[in-house]
Amino acid sequence: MVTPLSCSLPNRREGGPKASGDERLKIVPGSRLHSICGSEDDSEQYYCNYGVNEEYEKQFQAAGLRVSARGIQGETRAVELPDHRFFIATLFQPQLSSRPEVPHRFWLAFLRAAVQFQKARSKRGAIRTPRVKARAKAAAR
Amino acid sequence: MPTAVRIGIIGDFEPSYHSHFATNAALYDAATKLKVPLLLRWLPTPSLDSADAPKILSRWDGLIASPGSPYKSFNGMLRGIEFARTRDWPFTGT
Repeated sequence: MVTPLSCSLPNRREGGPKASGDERLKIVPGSRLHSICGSEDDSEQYYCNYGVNEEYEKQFQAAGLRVSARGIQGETRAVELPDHRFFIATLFQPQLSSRPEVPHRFWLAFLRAAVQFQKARSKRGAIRTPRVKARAKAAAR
Repeated sequence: MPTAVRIGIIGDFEPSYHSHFATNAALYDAATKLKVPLLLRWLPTPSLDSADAPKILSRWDGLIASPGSPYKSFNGMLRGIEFARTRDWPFTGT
């Protein structure tokens, strides 16, 4: 499902892997990634030698994964699960262009999702805990 | 003081690997911006290749698959991703 990249990015760093440096991307409208990045045109940093084997694209799609970003030649650069609360995988690394004074939007969005999830869980936990305790008591008897 | 958000990074931390360092830095910077305390831990892949994986993973509010394969335990990595996918846990891999 993953395959060595056949060609280097145009801005490959000297001595770096095939995909290093930055690349222009097209973010798919309607995707979660698009709602995070806020536009179709984006540029991101890479540091890797592998990519998605496009022969498996149909199987990815059938399993529910949606492509949320493509390279200039149409290569898959990010995928996501639309019905999941937050499930995005990228070939690029938003951490490489994140800066202390300007953290990357992707990481802000991920942390917000985790904070929301924590809140939702603690609410559910407050309801569940007595039941769990009751069950544990019953089991101990 | 709000509760710390707990993020688990599935991967085998290698201090000399720039992408690993940058992942930690980006998360701390984002948390500072959001004014949320962050509890960040790396979860070594071999520790997840066991029946205890769901117990370990469910302690975290968000899970990240670290960059930089090969992992010490590919199976551990897959268990982590599977947990996030099937249990609707916030997840990303970059």
